[in-house]
Amino acid sequence: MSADHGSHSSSHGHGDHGGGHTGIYKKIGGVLLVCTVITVIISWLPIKTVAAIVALGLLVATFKASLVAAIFMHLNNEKKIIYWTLILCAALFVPLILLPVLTTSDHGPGRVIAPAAPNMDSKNWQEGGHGEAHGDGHGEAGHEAEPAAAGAEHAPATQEGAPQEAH
Amino acid sequence: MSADMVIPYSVEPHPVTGINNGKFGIWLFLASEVMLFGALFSSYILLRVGSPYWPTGHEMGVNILVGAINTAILIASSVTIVLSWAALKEKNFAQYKWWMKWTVACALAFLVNKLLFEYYPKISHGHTPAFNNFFGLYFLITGLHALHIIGGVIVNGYFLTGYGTRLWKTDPEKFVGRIECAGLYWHFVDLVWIFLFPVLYLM
Repeated sequence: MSADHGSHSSSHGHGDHGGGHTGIYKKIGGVLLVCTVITVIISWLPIKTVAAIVALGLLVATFKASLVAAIFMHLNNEKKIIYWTLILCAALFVPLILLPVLTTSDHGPGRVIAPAAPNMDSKNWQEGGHGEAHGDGHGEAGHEAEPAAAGAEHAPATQEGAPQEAH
Repeated sequence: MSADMVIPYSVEPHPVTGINNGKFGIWLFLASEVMLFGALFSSYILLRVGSPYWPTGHEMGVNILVGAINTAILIASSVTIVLSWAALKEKNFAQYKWWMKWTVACALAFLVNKLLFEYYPKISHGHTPAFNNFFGLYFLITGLHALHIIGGVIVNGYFLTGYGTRLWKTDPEKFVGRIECAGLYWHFVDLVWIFLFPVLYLM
């Protein structure tokens, strides 16, 4: 198959049928727009845990990204060298994303790694801004972050109550 | 411009990779871009997990409607750029220009939305990158993404000019390859935003 297309459609994985795919491109575009609406709706749902919202949102985003990659970027019918390039990239990407998880796991849950940035505790971050304190406590460092942060501007909201290390 | 200057495998497939050099090159570039944005997402995870309190986008006044509109705009631009490539495959140059113009128009609309309805209101309210870590990351990641959009506007705009489209007359298959590479880059920019939007605006 690739030898037949060698001198004519060498640039493209699926040969010379690009023009006949205009219908599917528009349909996939419509699906992507619907998924965008679904993503916004998910953010409005009364889901209590942050992890669930994050998981659902990323699931929809991954589905959308897969459609773009497979259909628009023609990855559904591509040469092996491209697949291997992306597999190598993914193999390095996973540790890159996992690094913060591995870093925080050394210190245990709820331990602040980065020094508290200015305006980041639940009172101070409102200064100069118009955000309202809903106090949802989305930080995974501790769900008791609200009362702990209100009472201690510099100490982290740790579950074991250990003082923050000086860096 | 002479025959001596022809770079091999710019159109015909390379015997080892099976594809032309431009396409392989753009995919390698996109892999490096994945690591670039991946490092920023990784930083976001680290800062958020390690923070005693992390506000939601809503609490920080991030405009979900503008973000959703920008998402729709970028999706539309992805459709138009792939349609422009498909038109070239059908040897319809006029239709290629039509769809590419819409791609550039969508990109410019995205930038105008971002600057006028997101960056300007935030900065005028004092929500600068220095305000807190959320905005530090927000401006860094969306700013880098916006720079990529600007780069795409320049490249796609170039492929609308008389000089940029000369190759269609002299070597049409090579020109189609260039547009495909430009399209791959543009789809990647869209991909990044597909993940950025929920992460920064909705979570």
